[in-house]
Amino acid sequence: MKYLKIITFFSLLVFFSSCEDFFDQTTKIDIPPHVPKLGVTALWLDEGNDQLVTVFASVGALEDENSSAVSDAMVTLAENGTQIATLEEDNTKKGFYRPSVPVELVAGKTYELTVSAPNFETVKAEQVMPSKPTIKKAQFVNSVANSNNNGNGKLHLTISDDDGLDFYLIGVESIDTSESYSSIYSNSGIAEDSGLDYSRVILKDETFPGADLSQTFDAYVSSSTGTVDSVRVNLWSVTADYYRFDRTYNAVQNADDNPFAEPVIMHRNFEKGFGVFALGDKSSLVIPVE
Amino acid sequence: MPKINLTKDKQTMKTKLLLCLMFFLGITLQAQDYTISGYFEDSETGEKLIAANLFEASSGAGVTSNTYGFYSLTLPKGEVELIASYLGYQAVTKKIMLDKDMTINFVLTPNSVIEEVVVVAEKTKKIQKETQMSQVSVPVEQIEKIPALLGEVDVLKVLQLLPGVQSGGEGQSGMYVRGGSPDQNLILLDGVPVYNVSHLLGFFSVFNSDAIKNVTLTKGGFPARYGGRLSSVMEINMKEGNNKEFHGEGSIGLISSRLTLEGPIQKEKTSFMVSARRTYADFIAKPFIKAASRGSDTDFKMKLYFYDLNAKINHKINDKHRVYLSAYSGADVFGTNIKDKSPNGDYFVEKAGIDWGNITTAARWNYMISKKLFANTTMTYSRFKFDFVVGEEDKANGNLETFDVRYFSGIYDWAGKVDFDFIPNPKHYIRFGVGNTYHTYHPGALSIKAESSSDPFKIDIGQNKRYSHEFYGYVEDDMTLGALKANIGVHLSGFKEKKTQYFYPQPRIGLRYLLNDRWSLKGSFTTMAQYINLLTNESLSLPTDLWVPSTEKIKPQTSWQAALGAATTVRDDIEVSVEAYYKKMKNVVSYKEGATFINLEESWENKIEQGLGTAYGAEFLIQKKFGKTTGWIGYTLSWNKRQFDNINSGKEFPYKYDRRHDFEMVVSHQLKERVSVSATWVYGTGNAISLPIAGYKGYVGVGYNGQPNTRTFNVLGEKNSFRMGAYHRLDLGIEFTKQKRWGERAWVFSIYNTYNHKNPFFIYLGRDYSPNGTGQKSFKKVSLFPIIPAFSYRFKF
Repeated sequence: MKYLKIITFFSLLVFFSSCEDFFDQTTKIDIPPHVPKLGVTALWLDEGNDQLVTVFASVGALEDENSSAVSDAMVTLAENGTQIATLEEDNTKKGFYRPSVPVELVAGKTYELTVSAPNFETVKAEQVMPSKPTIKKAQFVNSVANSNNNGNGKLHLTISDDDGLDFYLIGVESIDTSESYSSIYSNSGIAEDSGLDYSRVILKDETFPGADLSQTFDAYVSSSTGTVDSVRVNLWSVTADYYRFDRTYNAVQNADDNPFAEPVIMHRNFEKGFGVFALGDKSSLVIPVE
Repeated sequence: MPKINLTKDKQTMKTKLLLCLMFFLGITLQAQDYTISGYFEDSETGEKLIAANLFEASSGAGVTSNTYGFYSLTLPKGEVELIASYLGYQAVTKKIMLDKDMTINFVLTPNSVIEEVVVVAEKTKKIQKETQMSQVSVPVEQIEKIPALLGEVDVLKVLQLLPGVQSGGEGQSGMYVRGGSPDQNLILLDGVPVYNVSHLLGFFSVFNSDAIKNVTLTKGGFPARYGGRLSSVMEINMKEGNNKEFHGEGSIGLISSRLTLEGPIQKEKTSFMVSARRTYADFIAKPFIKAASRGSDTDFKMKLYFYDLNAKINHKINDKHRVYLSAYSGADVFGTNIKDKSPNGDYFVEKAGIDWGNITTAARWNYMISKKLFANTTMTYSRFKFDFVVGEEDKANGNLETFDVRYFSGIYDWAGKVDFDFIPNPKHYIRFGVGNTYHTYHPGALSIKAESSSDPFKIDIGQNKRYSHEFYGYVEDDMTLGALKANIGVHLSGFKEKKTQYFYPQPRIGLRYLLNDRWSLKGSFTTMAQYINLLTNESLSLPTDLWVPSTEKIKPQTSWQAALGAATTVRDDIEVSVEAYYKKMKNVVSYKEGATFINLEESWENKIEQGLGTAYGAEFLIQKKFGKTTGWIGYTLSWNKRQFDNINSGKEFPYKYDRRHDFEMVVSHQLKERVSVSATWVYGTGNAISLPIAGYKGYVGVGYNGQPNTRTFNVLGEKNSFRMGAYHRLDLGIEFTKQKRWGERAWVFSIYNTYNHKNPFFIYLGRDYSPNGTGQKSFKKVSLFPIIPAFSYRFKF
């Protein structure tokens, strides 16, 4: 009798085990509703389209709508606590803000970008303008003979580095402004391909703080107008936030659609919002192709 | 003449050194001291008893047997009353006249479970008397009574039910000890490291409980003899084999069957033990697959099983020398082979297979050098490999073309060590030893091969093998200074990989202060270093996880841990302990954000981030190890954090297994002589996870047209800032045993997750597609195991 009871009990369990709904192992879970926040991007590298700030409203992960431009935002820039500029929305591009006159940023000074808009919490981010970097020496040696007279060789570069942790972005380009292609490669071991612009490399001076960095990079420069006799080497010193944003953006690109990839938290430095405010200053040097 | 003076000087120096050593060790030159030594054995099986106790009644001097059952006790000349005891065994009292060094082997008889063993309990060593803290052991007999997933008794799953130990996720056998990661656990099977302890993606462990004699887990307060990992040491000793008579035991369960045979080869001198376990899903599926493909042009073959094979032989050469040879082999084998045949003999085959597993072997030599000095020399080999193959064979018009892709990874160790136990007197127990391990790492390689008459090729992508030496030496003394006991020692370890060398001295101290006969306070401070790392996917314990060495770029992991606690024994059979700990870890490893093991073109060294770990908390344990009712109640309150420069923007974040509350209750009760029941209830705070929270548009530089490029950024919340729902589960079991003419049989019934709680395994962002719906996005929780009834049939003869 007692065995019968046990067998009946287990039979009932097996019966219940076959009930699909009862044992549906996927269930919906609720998360708090998303409150839209300002998503601000400002990557100021002292080049074309510089001092651009994009302001968009965030959408929740469960929403299908696209992130929309915020046109009624108040975007201001302060230097060492004093407001020095108000940025205006581009007439042709909603959500794109620029100062009416480019602001001259001074190394060592602290800049605070503040964005506020109706129905959004005000967001702020702060950056200290890095010093202009020093290209101590640069040499481009063409190593591959080719019929197109492109620059395809080695860039030997020496950077004079300050004390402390510094971050650099390096690029090389044709000096003519016509359609051309150029790239520098991260084959040196210290640098990595920039995620924001694959034709550049990015690095930090962890391994050589305060010392000169001499490094050789593979590089390629072409020009549609003729022979590449000389190239422009660009060196930026960028802030830690630029470096982190670039690295996480690069990781996001690499991890796209890969289920085995580790999750990536996009770097952000705006409190109470999303996005990044980052600065960089550039030095350039035109050198002949040898 | 000067020569003679020199010899005299040397002798004088030696005498001085000896006197200094004696002073330090508290040795007094009493001619009347004699030493009793020998082994503790089980009367029925001849198995050596680990951590059995011997003490002298009047003086209270005592000693505990070592891993090989050896003890040594030095006492003054005269009549002594010796009491030998071991948990779950009848104590033996022996009065002798001690007037010379003696060898006594204590042969203890197991208690019947039904007996109330209070008298014995009084004589066993209490938790408050031991110096060691943060150490737990669960008798194997008790492990076998605890209800298990699909009826598969699992040592690791039981250890996860102890405070300070957490499982990874639902049904996983990975262990997270005091905030550590799985690679920070040194899991030793007969002294050999086992690198992958999981079967079936972590749902079962590789340890077959039928082959196991003893399990001990040390979570902190590590004595100097342990090293090489930051967070825990789990020692699992295999049975030696009954040296008196032949016996067997086994079980037939829902997913696997087991059989263990043991017995003497030469009675009381040489014995063996062989144990095997295999799953049989493939056997069950085979006739169905065959029936389905009957009459078709397609043959379908499938391999789907795991197995474990344990074997051990031990031989007593004489009273001073014993040798042991033990081995383990286990693997998971998954494979499919689909063959499309044509009547003209042409065919096309698609095949895929995954095969991973461990092999370990150990050869040991126990040598009782003197009554006070015991040596164990061990040579070991350990191998873990993972092999994944996909391929095609195409035979058309008599031409055969093949294409194979193979991914391979693994780690191989050769090791040797010599350990000494020196017991000069009851106040000191000194251990010292040295060891070296030669590691060979194969951190992921891909081979693509095509063979055809037209265009054969072979490409190898991936990482070269790496080699390293890991070496260590240690000395420790477990000393008694009145009410204070201390275990003080140092572990010196080094590591050499290519031209890179590391060396870390790791001081260790453990203290126990006896407040009174019932209560003691304990404290410990330990430092650890770890030179090998596991690159692992956080979500699952995949066999694709890679073991890699410390290198010039990847620094060794180090930690320090401080713990304070109190221990007592209530009613002589219930151990109560409470401990608080704080652990700091440096250079812990993680994959970089966005990194994956699949990308073999990038060196694994470039995929690693190293950072800091902080774990602290308190653990509470009440445990009853013998009697009609056994089990424990455990609770852990803990915090567990990580910080990496390039993960989560450099901000500190909760580790995935940061579990604020972890509660477990395990009870087994002998209802009647032939019926026992058991229950387990666990509750844990949900795991920390990262979820996407929002998206926004931003610009990412300038495009070729000179205009800013924009894209939508998906924003993950801060790393591990969400919590899955709480995990809780009730398991029930009942066992009916019956004596038969040929031995004993038992029917075991169990229910896993009795109230069918949908415990979270992972959460993903999906869409709800209703018949007329638009496919609204939603987060969905996937649970693995609903209520699962199971049964198994066990037998012993």
